Amino acid sequence: MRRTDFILFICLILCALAVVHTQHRARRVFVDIEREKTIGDELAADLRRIQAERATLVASNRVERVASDMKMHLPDTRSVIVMGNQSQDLADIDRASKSLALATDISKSNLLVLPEPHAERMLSKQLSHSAKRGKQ
Amino acid sequence: MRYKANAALNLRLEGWRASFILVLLLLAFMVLVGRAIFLQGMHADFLQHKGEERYSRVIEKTAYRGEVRDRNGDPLAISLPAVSVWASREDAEMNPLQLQQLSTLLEMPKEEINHRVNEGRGNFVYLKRQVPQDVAQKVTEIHIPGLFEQKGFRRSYPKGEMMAHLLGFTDVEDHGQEGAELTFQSVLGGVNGARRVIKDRAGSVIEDVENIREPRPGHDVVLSVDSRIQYLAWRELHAAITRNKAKAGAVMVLDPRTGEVLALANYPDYNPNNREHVTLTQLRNRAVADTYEPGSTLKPFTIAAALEANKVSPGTIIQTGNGTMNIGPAVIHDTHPGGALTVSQVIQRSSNVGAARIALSLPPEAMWNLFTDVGFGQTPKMGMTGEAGGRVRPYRSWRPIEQATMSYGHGISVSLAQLARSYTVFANEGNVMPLTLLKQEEPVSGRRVISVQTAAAVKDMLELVVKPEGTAPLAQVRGFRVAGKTGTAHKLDHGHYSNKYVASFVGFAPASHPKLLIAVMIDEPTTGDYYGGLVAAPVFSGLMAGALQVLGIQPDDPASENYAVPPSANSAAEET
Repeated sequence: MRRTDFILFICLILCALAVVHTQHRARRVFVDIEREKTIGDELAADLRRIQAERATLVASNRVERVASDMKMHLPDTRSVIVMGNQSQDLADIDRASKSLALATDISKSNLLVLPEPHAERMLSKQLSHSAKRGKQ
Repeated sequence: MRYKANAALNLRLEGWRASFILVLLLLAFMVLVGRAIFLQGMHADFLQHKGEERYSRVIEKTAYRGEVRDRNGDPLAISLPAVSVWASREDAEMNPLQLQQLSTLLEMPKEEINHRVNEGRGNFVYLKRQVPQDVAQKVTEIHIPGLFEQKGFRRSYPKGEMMAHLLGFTDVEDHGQEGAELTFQSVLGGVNGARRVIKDRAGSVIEDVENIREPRPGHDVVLSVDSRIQYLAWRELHAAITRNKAKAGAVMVLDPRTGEVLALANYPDYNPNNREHVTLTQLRNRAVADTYEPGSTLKPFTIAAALEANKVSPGTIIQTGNGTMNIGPAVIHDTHPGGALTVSQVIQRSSNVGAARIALSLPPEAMWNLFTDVGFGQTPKMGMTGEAGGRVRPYRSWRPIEQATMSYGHGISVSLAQLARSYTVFANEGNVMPLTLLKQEEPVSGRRVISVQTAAAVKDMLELVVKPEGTAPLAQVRGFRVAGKTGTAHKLDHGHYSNKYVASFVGFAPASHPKLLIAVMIDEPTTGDYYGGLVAAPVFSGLMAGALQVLGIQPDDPASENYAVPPSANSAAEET
């Protein structure tokens, strides 16, 4: 009888210690989770801040300002060919392929990265050149 | 000496004394038990609460307000964490150096900080709300006792001025006050959560006790707006206002097939990120809240009503004579005498006399019905604050002169939003579309108002307007067929027509398959030109060309070198 009591007593002590230990571990894990959550929140906040910053940077008014500082401009509507599936018209496709050829010519001469005044001069040269070829 | 000899030992205590002490102890014990019952039984809740207060805290879990995005997913309004700096009046102490630093960081004068901290009742006072986090961090680093920080949000509008009227803004409590922020408050607004936790001596959370309320973040809203087109609208409007030294203006871009608002810009505007010196004039959303007499932009509806009633066909000849017409004592004028004009030419040259003659051949009810069907006199219900409904008087009270003036858009008031919406009838084969600020995923069905044939006939007439003989050659867009109508209206000033004008243009393109509808209104141009064809049409043209390019829309008239624009644009002056 005394022997069983003793064993049970030892078990009790061990259980009590285990409870204390587990409680302690639980708290530490909890603190860790809280810290990670806080970091998560901060990262989420950072993401928003960066998104807002990006949206400000890509706002059309800024893009246009920067582009004009770099002497870039939108192509004229006449020099743009929209190649959608709506263009079934043969003449359209023909026109598109011709100007594509023109565009490849142009890209060879690095025209697309030239600032505006150069671009205009080069384009007019190119056009008169291809017009001459057309006449021949 | 005998032990017994000590007399004191012979003293006998009386029995009641022992009993007295015993009773006294029992009584004291009873008091203790009573007290214990009182505390444990009756006051337990209160005490337990007091105990918990020592270590448990309720923490608020803040919920983000939803984002507003444009139709391509570009963020337009986004909530960023921000900090409110507050002071405890009893504890706040700062030396002059700290005060100087604080004043620079918070961008507040020293006097104001002193005033806030030292004057007024109560212990709690906000110094500044919605301080960006990096600034708040620096404020903490000054280490001023009695100064605290509270987490919150600040709404950021990356597109600034150009979206101001469309988006509106929120107040410091994160509630929408204007525009889309107010309209969609119930969707965007988040609900803060709360949880009870146990904190240790250092103030850090060590255990969750209960979750009182989960935070519910607001939902995102995807608007129908395209921020690229919005920018073009804003830019073209600003350019026109500067060019014409005008008082105000508004532009609206719609998708005529769905009624989605792709852009809405007003001048004057404001920067929603910094509203310190914003006036009511700047806040005014003119496109939806202001009504004006539309002028000639209303003529196509008169013609449509006449076509529907089979009173005329596009080729019918209307005599406009020498450009004047008497109705009772009143006289209607054309800017230039036109002689005999076809119905199409009445629209093309914007003849008042022609429109009035056609109107007078109609019963007033027919005109009123069409005006009402396309939405004049009713709020467009697009979900903006302060939408105006304009005014169309009941047809029973129309006198002939009123019917005549109404045929060319005087004696009736509409907002730009209503006018834009009404033109969906011509762009959309006779169906008027409901306006919406939200991106539509499904096709929208409109309401048929006029027949397909009438709509097509009027559309053809509207295409003539931008030809060299029309009133708005400046509205042409290279490579595209354009249909539209100019308007120039005298402004009423204290009940009399003054020499102030509202110039407008409404039109759509590509005319073969309309994908964009633009309405422009310029209020009080002061540089001499005031005709819609000279002031508003260039805004339309610039904006339309840009928007078509942005959307990558196939030109429907690619072969045409542009029509020659008359150098003096004289014909553009032939209208009212």
